[in-house]
Amino acid sequence: MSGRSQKLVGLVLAVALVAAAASGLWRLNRPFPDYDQWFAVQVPQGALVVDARGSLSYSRGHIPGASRLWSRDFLSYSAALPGVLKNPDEISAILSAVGLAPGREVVVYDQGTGADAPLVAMVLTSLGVSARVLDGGLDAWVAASGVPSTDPVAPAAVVSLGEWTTEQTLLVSADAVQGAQSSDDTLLADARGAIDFAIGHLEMAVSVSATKMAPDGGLPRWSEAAWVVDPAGVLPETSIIVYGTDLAEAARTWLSLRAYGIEDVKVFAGPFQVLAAAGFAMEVPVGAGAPAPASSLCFGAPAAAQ
Amino acid sequence: MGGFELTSGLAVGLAFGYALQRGRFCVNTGFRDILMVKDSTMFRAWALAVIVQMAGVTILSGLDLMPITVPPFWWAANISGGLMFGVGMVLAGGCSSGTCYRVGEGMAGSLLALVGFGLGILLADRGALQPLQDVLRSNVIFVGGEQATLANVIGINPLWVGLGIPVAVGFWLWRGGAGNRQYASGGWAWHISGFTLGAIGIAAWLSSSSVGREFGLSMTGPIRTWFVLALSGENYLDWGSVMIAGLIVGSFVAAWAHKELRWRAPRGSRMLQAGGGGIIMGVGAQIAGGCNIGHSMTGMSVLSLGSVVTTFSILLGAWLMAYILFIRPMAAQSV
Amino acid sequence: MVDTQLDMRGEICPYPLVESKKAVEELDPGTTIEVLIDYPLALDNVTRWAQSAGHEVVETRDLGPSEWALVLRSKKK
Repeated sequence: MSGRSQKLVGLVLAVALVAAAASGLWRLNRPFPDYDQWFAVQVPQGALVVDARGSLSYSRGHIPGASRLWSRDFLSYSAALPGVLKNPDEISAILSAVGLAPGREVVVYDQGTGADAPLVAMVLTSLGVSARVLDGGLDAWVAASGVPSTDPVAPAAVVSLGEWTTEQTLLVSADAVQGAQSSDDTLLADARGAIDFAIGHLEMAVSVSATKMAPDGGLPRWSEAAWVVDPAGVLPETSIIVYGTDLAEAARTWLSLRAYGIEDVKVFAGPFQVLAAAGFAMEVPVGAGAPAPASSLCFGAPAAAQ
Repeated sequence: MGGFELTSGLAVGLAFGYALQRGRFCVNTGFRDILMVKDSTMFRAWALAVIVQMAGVTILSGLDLMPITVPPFWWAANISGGLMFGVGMVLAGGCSSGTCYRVGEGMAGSLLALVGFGLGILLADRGALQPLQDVLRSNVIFVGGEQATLANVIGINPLWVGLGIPVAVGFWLWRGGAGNRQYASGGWAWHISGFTLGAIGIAAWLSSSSVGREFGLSMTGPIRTWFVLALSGENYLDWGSVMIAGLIVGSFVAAWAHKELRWRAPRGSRMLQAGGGGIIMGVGAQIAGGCNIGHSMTGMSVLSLGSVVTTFSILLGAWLMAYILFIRPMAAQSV
Repeated sequence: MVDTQLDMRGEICPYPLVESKKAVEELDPGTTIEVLIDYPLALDNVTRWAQSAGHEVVETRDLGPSEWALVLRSKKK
């Protein structure tokens, strides 16, 4: 090969290398495409601000003017069926008490870990309310020099929701989950952590763990979401049904998927326990116990600190 | 496997293999020749590659542009695995990256060493030596709940260490001068290969991390994925696996483009030595959790204490074996 | 015309260097040896060693793809 061709080969390889590096850097730092639609960086003017945490946390300090709308208030607990979503009439009554008016935008926040706000935002969204989550929660708001208030907030006059409550399609029943198991069109996404998934998950479900995508509860890096979502074969037009240990966990995955740019994301309106008890086909890995080497890292997953 | 995972793994692997071949880069030679013939040329190439990568990774992770993973400090595994790897690579006639690139050039001894390497890895990872691996890896030393690094073990900001070491070592290298830039075989001078390999290491971190494998160049794990696939059908192929395949092809392309492709084979006893050395290398690398690339380049770039300890152990193991095999016999017969 | 020949083709690292060193050191001063090498790193290593040890590199002949004849002259004592 002539000297010129040799240099050409070297040049091509160098260009490919630089392209790989630059693309990697860009991929690692891309923002989510629908970020603004789902996350508020600061509290917008005129929005109804709602605190999704429990009463003790609320009384210790909340964003001034925010009324309390606890995520647990949407769930009913019985020994047989813990953490199932209440029926629409009950939910309407709860929302009316907060002072929700048609067309008003809502910003939901929690401490910042995503334990409560995604669930409230999800229920609101299912009823046609335009809801966003405050990215980073109260912790981020305080860090941006906000001063919390401890005054309880009395909401404005109660408004009936009847006129503008749409027939909701976001939250689905066990039948829909069964349908997804047997169809090729809808992907079942398991929002639970890696260990729970490994112990046993619904047959045909893929792991789209909320914790994996956003370990601190806020918005994950694009790459953190991408490498959880891409290997599952998810594209923007994929239909997804999410289930989790409870609705709060499923809601976190729902929120991340929506912010990532996936339009058709539905959520099973109950805890995983319900599906497991209902005799759904399950996939239990053989020889559970020894974790499989999931990557080409020589040292496996880094040993967890004590 | 996603498109970017495949193409970036190939791009980095091809460049890596090409640079290894042009630079005749071999850590085995680098470590051994300091002692055996007092030649530090290859050692400098390795040192330069490490500090270039260290500086780049420190800056990228310091600016929060890239996540990193620090190999754990499982000291017993690092020491014993590193010693074994050093011994094995001297027997095999090449480190893991050296062995792989020479396969692409047509060296049969290296091919046998590579097969031995893979078998040794499997032996320790899921074969008869797995209990040994588990015992040696069972004690991990953390610093404040994190993987131990040169920075957190003395309690300073990693920026100081991750940029300070490159400055200090870089100065030492620069003081030493580039030396004769024309090598007899016509390959790259040490400073060219050192810089290029360091840059390739940074590109590896960036592209691999962006597909979820938050690490850079490594040999042991990726080779393991291919051997596991071949021998048990389990598919764990990922970015690293693609990169390794690209390495061998890239080296082949470099050799072919420069008329250095040639099928070469040593005599039988040396073949056995290469294969046996490969097995010992594989066991050592698997136990330690990395080899001359995974620990001694990539792990060092994130200041992993485990990687530093492993690298020292590899050096000692190599010197021990070189002394027994070559230096003592040479001293005995020269006047 | 060389006085001796050493065929190191096919050898694994570091035998070309080790054997060449031994052979050169056993030569009578001022005599030549032709080492056949087919491993690029070995060519670099042996050449570099010979120069640093004071021996003369007479010539390096290309014999084909990755194949060289390295002619060294042992130094005067």
